[in-house]
Amino acid sequence: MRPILAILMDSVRQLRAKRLFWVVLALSGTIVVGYGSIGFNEKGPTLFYGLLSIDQPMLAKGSVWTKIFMEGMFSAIIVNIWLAWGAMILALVSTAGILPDYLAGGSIDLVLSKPIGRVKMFLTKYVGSLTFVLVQVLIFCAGVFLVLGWRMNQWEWKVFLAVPMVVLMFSYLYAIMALLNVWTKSTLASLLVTMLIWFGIFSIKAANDRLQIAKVNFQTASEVYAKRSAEQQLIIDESTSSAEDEMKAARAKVRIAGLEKRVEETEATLDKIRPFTNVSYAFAFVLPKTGETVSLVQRWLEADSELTFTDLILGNFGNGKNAGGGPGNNRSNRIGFINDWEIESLTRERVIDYANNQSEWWIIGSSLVFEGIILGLALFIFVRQDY
Amino acid sequence: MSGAKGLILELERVSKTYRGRIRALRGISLNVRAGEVFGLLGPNGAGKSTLVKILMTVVKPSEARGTMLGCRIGDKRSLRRVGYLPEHHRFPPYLSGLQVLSYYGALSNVARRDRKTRSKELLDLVGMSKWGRTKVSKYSKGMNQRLGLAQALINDPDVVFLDEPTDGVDPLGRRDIREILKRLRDEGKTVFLNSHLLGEVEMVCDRVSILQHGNVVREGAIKELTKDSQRYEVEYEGTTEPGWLNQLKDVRIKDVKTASQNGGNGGGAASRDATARMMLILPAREAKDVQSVIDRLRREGRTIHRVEKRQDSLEDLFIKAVEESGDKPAGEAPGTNPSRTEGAKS
Repeated sequence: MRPILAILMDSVRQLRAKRLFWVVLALSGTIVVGYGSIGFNEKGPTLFYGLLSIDQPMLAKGSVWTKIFMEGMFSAIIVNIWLAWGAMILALVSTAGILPDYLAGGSIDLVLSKPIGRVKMFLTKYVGSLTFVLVQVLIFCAGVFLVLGWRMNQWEWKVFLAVPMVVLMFSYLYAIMALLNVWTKSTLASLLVTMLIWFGIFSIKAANDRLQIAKVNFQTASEVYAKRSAEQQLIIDESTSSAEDEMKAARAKVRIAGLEKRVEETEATLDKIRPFTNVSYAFAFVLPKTGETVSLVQRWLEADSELTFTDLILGNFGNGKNAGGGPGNNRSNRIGFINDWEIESLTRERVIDYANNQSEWWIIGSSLVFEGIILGLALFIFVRQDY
Repeated sequence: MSGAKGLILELERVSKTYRGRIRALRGISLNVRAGEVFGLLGPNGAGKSTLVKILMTVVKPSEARGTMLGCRIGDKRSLRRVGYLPEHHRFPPYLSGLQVLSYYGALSNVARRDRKTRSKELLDLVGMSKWGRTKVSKYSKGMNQRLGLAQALINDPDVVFLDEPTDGVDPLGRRDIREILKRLRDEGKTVFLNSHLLGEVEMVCDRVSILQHGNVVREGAIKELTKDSQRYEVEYEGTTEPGWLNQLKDVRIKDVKTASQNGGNGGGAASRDATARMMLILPAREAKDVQSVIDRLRREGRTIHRVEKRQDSLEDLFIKAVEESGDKPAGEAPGTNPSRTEGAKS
């Protein structure tokens, strides 16, 4: 246990010695101060500790939306943008040299000659490197916790859920970097390739999201067209020999022909995109869920509320959770490809259901499996290598 | 815990072939006794560092039999009682001297209280007590070496492996390190010294092993290894006839050699310099063996300028051993069998 604690303690000293650690901490502090400058009065939100007042009655003091706004700002913007991207890039830059320095000749000899096994040594060093993000996010969340308590008079312990989630996300990426570190022993090469892989994961995820939405959209369209066709068929079946009914039946036949053509078209489109959706899904399936892991913070923060930050941003005041808007919903909010309100609405519903039904265990578990495999490879190289 | 006959280290058939079929070690066998200072010598690329790294589990051997401190080679448990100073070591630059000792002490499983006490003692021992709280990034090469030595001793080891410990250290520092090594020996610790500085090795080592091309070409106590090179040098004025040399052989002085004063062993033939001084090199161990030669020279009216008893230095032995082994392939290099090294002659 003593050697393990020594390696962990050394990791803390090492990160404290890095200038970038203090830079990131200062930036995080600035963001917390900025976040704390948001307040609410009778007219709406205020910025810069009351210097600037914005007229927005929805966010007036005492409104139910103020808490959603503050928590949403934290989970959807600060966590998803600053912690998941900005601080993450700086953390990768800061930690890129830890293992190459550790593995450098003259340095690794000293450590390997001690009575501690290579597996334990490597894994402890790996965990120790994660302390960079752990300490950063912990301090950051403590700041946010205090701001929420001070501004909203609500001590929301759930903000600390960001700590394990952001550390988890960093660990997925750091496993890749650790593998490259032991393989190449080059700080720069490891950092660049890790960044590339990360952006690759992000791109694949984004592409897969669009393709899966398209698939759901066209599947929904096909179902809706088939349903409408069946409705028209019912009109034909129920028609009598009256002139009016014959007219209706004739119109229904024309509509059925049009709907059947549309079904054929959507099925053809589905056949075309299916290979792409399958491939992108396979990639997204095995790759770590970086974005989804951090987004769990938002899901958990909004778990007990009927109203969400997304509703607030989309202007769905009062429609409730995940409301997709009505027929008049503007095009910029549309997620589907077919200009049909019913199809769009059903698609949105199914996509949101799908996203919300992805279990936390699946998101984290499948990512940890990926991390475990990559880390296992790194460990395999480290254990077998001569120095 | 040490092995049979007070052996700290018993090695058999230690070999290492790196990727690319580079054979660094070709089946080395050697023994190190408890409480001795053992020197491992060899030219660059002979395999010295590889051997030490195998013992320290830094490099995995292709084959290794034997024990260190009673544990098989590669057993991490034995490293609890081992100290190691690698060549060109690098300490984390963000740590101070005291923190370095505490860190590596903790890795060796030394209790916190012991680390604290011992760190101060060791810094004092290596003359670094004033620099304990200074970051190692500010240390000079010599200071780093001194700290490295302290680091190797933090766990109060039974055996300490030092790879070029005086590298970058000034003459005074070298003297201090020699004194520390002697002190360790006096305390009953075993020191395994790997160095290019033969003069240093000669001053402190009880026994040495010379490596060349991954083979042991000489092994033994320095006195034993050089005793066959004991000789008397007789420098006189005049010339010597070839027949005279034959007569000397008749009076039981074997392998008489003469050489010019300007150096170089003449390989049995007399040579003459500008002042017509000659030097006979007589392979004799006792003074009585050369009296007849001196008498003969006096009878002939030659002026004797100098009579001196000489013996090869470790450097001479090293150069001869390395030159003899040359670039011979594995298995053909002399001295792989320790019994052959004892009788090796120039």
